[in-house]
Amino acid sequence: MLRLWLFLFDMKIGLSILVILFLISLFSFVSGYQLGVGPPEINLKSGECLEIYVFSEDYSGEIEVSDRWAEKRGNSFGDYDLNAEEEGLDVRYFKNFELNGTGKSKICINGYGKYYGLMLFRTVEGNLEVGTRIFFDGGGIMSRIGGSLISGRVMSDANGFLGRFGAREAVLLSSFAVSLALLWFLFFILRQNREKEG
Amino acid sequence: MRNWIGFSVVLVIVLFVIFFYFVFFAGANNQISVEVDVRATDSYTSVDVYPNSIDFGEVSKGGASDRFKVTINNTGTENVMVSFLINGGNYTQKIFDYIFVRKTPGNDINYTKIKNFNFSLASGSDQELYFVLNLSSYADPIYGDMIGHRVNVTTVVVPV
Repeated sequence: MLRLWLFLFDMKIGLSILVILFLISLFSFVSGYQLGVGPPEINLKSGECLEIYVFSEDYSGEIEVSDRWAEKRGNSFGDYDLNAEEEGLDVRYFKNFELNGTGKSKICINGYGKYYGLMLFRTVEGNLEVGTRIFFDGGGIMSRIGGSLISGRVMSDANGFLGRFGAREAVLLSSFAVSLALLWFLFFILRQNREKEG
Repeated sequence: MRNWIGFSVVLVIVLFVIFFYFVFFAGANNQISVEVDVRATDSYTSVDVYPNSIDFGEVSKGGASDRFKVTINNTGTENVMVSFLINGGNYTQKIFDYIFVRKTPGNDINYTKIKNFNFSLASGSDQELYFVLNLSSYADPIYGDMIGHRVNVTTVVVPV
């Protein structure tokens, strides 16, 4: 009887510990995000394009892209309060893209004058925005905004199911499939032959 | 006919075995296992913010919420300037202008309004921030309950 009580007591303690651990794990489940952008600074002249890499270890989803400008180099976000259009700059890039691991965004600028800017990449669900500084030197002559300036396509890594297979795996799988089909065909003929004989 | 089929089956099985021998065993001897540790040499801006949501709970006009800790870790190669931007959700009613932030947990340190708060963070370091919603100086009338009021506070990180 005493043993039974001790056993039940141990069970109670064990269960209590499990419940406590479960509750702790529930409370500590608070997520955060990491977002990286490189390079931290780019220099562009009128008509030029450059790619900026965006990466995250734990965020997969939409990235919103925006730009802000200033006539002097600023230290904080608030120093960049000019709008590209109002300053006569034609800044082209895709406004958003899906990030899955590492992605890149191509930015092209046409215009004149010297401007300091920020290209900002924001995790739409995570509320984290990381910027790259831009120094734009368009010279003193107004350059024509041509139709040939096409902003780049934002690409994400080929992380899909098929993207993980190399040529060797593809040959192996196809050979295996052909061999299986051949085997099945032979057994099919054998079965038909038996039926005919039967 | 039966002999021919039997022969074909045996042939296919033998071919199968030879094929897999060459693919998995004979081929393995010709492979060189290559391994390398690549060190990052390019510079980049990167931060880690934890957590990404705060629930201030129930707060009345004249009162203040509990203090909530947010940690920002500079995981990049550059020193950065961090600031906050409030937008979206129920921001129009300005309740969230009364979010205050400070770096130290002590009670004798004054908070700064989130709109005016920014700080620099060196590469490889982290900073704990303490957030509070303090409506003690909120002057506008609140006639109805505002349940589940929500806003986006974006952490903006710019390389210095």
